[in-house]
Amino acid sequence: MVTQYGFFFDAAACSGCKACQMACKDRNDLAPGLLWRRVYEVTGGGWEKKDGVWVPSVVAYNVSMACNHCENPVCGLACPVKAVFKRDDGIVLVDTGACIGCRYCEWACPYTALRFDVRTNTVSKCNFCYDAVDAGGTPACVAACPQRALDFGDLAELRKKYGEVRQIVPLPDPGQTDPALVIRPHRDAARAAERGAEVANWEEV
Amino acid sequence: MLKEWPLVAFTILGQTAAGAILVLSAILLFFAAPGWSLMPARHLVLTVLEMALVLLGIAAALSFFHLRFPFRAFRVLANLRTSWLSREILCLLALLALIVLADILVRTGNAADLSFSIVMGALAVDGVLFLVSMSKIYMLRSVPSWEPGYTGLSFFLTAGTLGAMATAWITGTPPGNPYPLFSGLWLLSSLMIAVDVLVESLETPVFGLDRSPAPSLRPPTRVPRRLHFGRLALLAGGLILIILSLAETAPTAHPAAGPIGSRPTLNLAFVLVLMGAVAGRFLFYGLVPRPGD
Repeated sequence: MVTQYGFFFDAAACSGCKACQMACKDRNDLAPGLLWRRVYEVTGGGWEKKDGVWVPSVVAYNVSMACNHCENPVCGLACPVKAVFKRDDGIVLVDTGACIGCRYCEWACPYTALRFDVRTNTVSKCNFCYDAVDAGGTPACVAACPQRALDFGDLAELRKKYGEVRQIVPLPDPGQTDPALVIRPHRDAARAAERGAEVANWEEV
Repeated sequence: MLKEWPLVAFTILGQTAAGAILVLSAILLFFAAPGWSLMPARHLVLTVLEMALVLLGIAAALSFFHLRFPFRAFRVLANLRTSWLSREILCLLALLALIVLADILVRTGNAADLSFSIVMGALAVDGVLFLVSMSKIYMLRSVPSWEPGYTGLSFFLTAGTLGAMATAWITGTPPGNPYPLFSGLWLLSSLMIAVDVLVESLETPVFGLDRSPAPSLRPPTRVPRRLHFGRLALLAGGLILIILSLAETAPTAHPAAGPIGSRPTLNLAFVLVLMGAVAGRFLFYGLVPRPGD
């Protein structure tokens, strides 16, 4: 039995097409402006002088990010009414029938995974397509990715298969929440911090 | 930023009330002369207690009605084990209950009893816990802009400043007041404003406006810089007015004596400092915009 589901994201393979984002919106019938999965475009660098020659030092890659169903979900710890809870298989869900709409969890989550839904007047977030997963299916974002940049499964298995990396720029310190996430970094990710890379599409995410 | 006005009002009113309770408790428990009777100052104590009750009542109503589902809030104490928000509400409810109890004890002539001292001590402890829990709510590792040490210090300074000023302002410290310590509250508040201005000048550029909280998935801050300088100007203006008012008064007279309305300089100082606190709180919430809004 799976004790902790998790996502895998291959930043080297992601083209930034946002099919995952749209598949999530479509499957969950999300309101305009509400995104449970978001694709951040990370850019930085410019030109640098090397041996008397100006060469480009641009870094550019995409990060597809949803709720990471953290092993230590600080959103749930912060919720005063215990409306955010963790299932036995590690999936973190919001009980919209219990949520009072105080929106405190939005601040507590370092991945900004919890978003306010104006239609339900509660916070909402990625639910790992738990109904599909329970039926043996696949989360919509994973199924939609044409590059196979997303995968899901038992976190222990994902780590065996893809490694232990769980942070690249601009993701926060994973020690805060122990995200159930494995990342294959883009080759530019190692130089992103030193070249001042930042999210370039805040208006979208 | 402006959408957070219920939280701005809740924190300012709550901190003012908690500050007033702490000031009153300190005066009654630590600075009262031995054998001194409460009766001559009974109305002052009642005035401060009831002011705190009204402020906390408004704060509680604001916090209740800013919820999207206020009538589900009966479960808000369900997560006392891990949620500082639950703990803050518990402290708020306890403050309201203890203030009512203290008020009853004073009105029924039991203020000289040990029970009143116990209630005032409990009020002081709960006031501190209320401020601590309010600070801890925002001392989040996930939000570097709300730097932990600075957030707590700022909340306590606001409570001390506005609590002392509101107490001094509403009691009017009339001549013949058997509690001369009430008269010293303007001085206390001016000292706190000075510390606040100093801390704000030194720390905000470091922790707030000029600090990039990277790496982060939070949108960049769009709070106007003029809010920071406006806040400092308002606090400094209030501080200058208090100092002028204290300096112009003859040493034998009570500088803040007289009913509300007869002290225009101090009234204006109070308004300026209050506006400064409100501007500072909007700045605080503006540092961390909610993604998607």
